[in-house]
Amino acid sequence: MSKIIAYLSSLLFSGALCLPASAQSAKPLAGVLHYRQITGLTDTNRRTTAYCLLRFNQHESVSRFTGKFQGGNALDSIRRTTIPALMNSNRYASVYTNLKTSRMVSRQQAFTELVLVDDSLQPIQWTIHSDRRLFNTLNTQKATARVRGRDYTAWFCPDIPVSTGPWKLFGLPGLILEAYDDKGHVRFLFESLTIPDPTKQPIIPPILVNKRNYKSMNEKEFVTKRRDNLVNSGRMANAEPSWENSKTTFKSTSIELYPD
Amino acid sequence: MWIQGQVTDSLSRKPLASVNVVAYRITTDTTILAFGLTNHQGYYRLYVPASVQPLLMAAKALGYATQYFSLPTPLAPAGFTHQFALTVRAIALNEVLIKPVSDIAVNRDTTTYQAKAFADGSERSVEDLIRKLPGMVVSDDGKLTINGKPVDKVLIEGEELFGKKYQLITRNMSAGLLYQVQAIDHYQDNPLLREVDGSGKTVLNLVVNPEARGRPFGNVSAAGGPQTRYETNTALFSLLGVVKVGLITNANNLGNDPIAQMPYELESESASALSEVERPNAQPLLQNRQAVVPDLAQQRYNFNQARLVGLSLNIRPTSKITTRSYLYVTRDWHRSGSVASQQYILNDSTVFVSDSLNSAQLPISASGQLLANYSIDSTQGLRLTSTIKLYQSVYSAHLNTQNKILPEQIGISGSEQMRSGQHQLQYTRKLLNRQAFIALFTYQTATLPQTTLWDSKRYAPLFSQPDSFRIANQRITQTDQT
Repeated sequence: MSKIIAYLSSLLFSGALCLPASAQSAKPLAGVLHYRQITGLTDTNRRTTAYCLLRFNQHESVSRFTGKFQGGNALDSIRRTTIPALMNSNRYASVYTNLKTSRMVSRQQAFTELVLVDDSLQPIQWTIHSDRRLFNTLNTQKATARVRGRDYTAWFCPDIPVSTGPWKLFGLPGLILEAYDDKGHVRFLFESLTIPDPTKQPIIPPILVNKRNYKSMNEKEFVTKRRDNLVNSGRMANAEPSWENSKTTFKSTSIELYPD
Repeated sequence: MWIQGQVTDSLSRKPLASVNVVAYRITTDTTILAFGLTNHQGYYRLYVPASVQPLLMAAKALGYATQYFSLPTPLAPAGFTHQFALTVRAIALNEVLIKPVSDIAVNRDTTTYQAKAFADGSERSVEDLIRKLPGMVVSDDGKLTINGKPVDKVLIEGEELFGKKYQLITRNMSAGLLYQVQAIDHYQDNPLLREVDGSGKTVLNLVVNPEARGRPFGNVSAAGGPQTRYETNTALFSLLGVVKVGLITNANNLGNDPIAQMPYELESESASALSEVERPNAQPLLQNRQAVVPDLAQQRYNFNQARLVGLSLNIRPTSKITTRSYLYVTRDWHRSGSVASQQYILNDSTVFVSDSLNSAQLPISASGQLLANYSIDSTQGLRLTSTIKLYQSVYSAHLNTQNKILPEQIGISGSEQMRSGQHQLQYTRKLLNRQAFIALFTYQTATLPQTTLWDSKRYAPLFSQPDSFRIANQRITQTDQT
């Protein structure tokens, strides 16, 4: 089996893994990357692992949660006792990236509600390093950049020439297989790569289920809405405090860091 | 300088969007210099510095054969235009499935990294490999942090050797011996406190290759090169039976600091702009050496001769008594010399000034620790920890300036010492409800004597009388002791 994988991957390295011309023109070659999204690494009680996938072709990609989820000890108990909708926000997160039209659409949690954020792609200023690392037979190279409030290290594969990656990471001359931030709060870990995508599912932007008349918003509007929801939730919780002089404050953690 | 053009399909002639176009610098390894994507009309535009040539261009797209193009040299400053026509390669469609061995496994407080998954063959020491593990950072002095938390100790097969001075292991043990690296959170080495206090400390446990287990293992290496450069390195371990031993040695003149112990006075190229305040351990230099130095060690001028010997001994004579001890001695001898000649052209004459500077520094560092655990019963125990440290540095520098008008000689020499010891006796009693009573007695000593001697014959020719000459010259001896 390992010989077969090595042979097939050597085809990929040589650039020989291609479709016939007719097939190529009919439908672009697509692949699927499975990865684990681990957050809260510095605290074993709050560490969560979400199993995700990224479907991609030359122009566009969509990453989403697969349904498998492992939570930390504290998270399990919180999920059982408090607001399930908040704790399950990862299940609905999805990011669609279109390099051709320079557009990114993501389904995100604005603290208490799901919204659709539709905005133009903001270029990432990557620095490519000479360090290399092997993922099975895939050779990757290191790159670093500050992305949405965190300093990331990414390992991209120049032999798979698509400029996308997990979550909202993109813009390198090769598929990003793995990435993590310097504080150890977020980690995207490579699980497997399959080309072509055996499911042949279309790569389409996410929508909001059960919300037909929703209005999408841009990044700036989302940041404002998220902050407003946080403030309003705090006001509601403190309108009738459970104990005298008590105050409840809400904090929301996310992969992306937002201004307070 | 801009390099631009269009990428099309060779058959249909249609422009191809989102194609990766990469410019490589052709050197010993092809370095990515610039990269970008084609727009919806297939056009690309890359900026590369005009000074970097020769260049190799590549256009890559999923489903197409990669096309390379070597740019002619020299390139016109105005830039260059090149069109790529990519070819679809008609071969049978096969599924490519790449699955790694589980590189990283997370199980409660332990994160296990498979060493082979992160190694590319370029690693020599354990430290080289640790640098490649996600979330781990190695500082210049060899200190480790994982996910922002400092690493307290490094264990080998669960055995604590060399205490907190884990650079002895990480800088001298070969990466080839490693099978797994385990990062363990909430580690507590006192068994009586394990259920009481998570301690919050993080340690690394190095798991060696299966074939090395059950027998003594280690690495011995020796290397030599031009200009009498050399490095020898030994790391031997025996973790069998009641006596567990670790022996580490290193000798080199490559500028490699085998333990990150010495407060190097010698500057790195990049650190030359730092002031004396920013380099608190630096001795005053008589003058800045404006020489271009080779960056062999990427850290320092490599005028050093480093020696290191470290021995660790863990003995467990009975089930109630455990002892751990280590001792290491390291010294690094730096000698350097520089000569500068300058010619000043005056109206009616020429003055030659020749400066020669010789400097030497010999720091010696030694440290040892003895830790003894006595388990009185299952709920109480005694622990004795005794640590001694010695650091001594002797340095000298002589500047000799030759010229017709004002010859001068300046010399500086001195020494500094630091001797310290810490002795602790700890009594621990485990109580109910995850609580414990701890009594800790500590005795500490520290002395830091310093001596500096200046000897200057500066301005001597300006004074005709020997008496006035003596007044003008000063000899300062300063001794501080705390």
